[in-house]
Amino acid sequence: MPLLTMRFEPDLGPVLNVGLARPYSLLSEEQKKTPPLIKTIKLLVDTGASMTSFSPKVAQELDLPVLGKVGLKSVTHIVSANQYLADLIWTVGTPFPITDMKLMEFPMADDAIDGLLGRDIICQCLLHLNGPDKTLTLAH
Amino acid sequence: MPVSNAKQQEIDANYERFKIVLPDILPQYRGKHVLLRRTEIIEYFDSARDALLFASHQYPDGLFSIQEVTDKVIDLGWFSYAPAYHEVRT
Repeated sequence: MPLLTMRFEPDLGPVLNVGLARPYSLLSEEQKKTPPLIKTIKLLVDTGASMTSFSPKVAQELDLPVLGKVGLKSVTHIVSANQYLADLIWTVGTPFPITDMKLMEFPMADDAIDGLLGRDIICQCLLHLNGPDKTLTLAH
Repeated sequence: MPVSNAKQQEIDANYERFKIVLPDILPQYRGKHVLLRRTEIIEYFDSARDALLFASHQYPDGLFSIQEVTDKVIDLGWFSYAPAYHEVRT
């Protein structure tokens, strides 16, 4: 099982670099002849988030296809946010794509991260956080 | 490229319609993906990708949206309760 151990800053939390791209399955035969545009984004590993999300800026840069909307819990009521289809390129071990993932946009107030790595992906992994050592290990 | 105004209006209108019909379609279509256009239900699909492939071919103007038939809402933990979201989106 490939694993990755990384150090993290306690003030920010563990941040993982992953790749994001337009779904390969939606590309035309002509588009498949050229290497797809893959953007590396920084996701905060967040076990409190049920779905992986990224900033709207990322969706715009990659021209990701928007599907519809999802309901999102807030303090007092349910708000909504756009949902996109994308390929996420996993970087733990040999990089490989997790294809046709439904991900949502969420504006990040902090430029230090581009989004949140949620339980839709975390729950496919073994996760070990060593607080005193300030390291996080992900195995997939 | 940002989502165009026309596309966003289509998505928003379809989503409002989807919320109204959800209790009726949920028992039979839970987990499916429903394609909507001009607030009308067009078809149900097993995956979002299948719905997107069909809709992109059928509606070149891009005016459609796809909703998963589910009553689950997303919880972003602490971030769900951060006020920044509401300032940006409303």
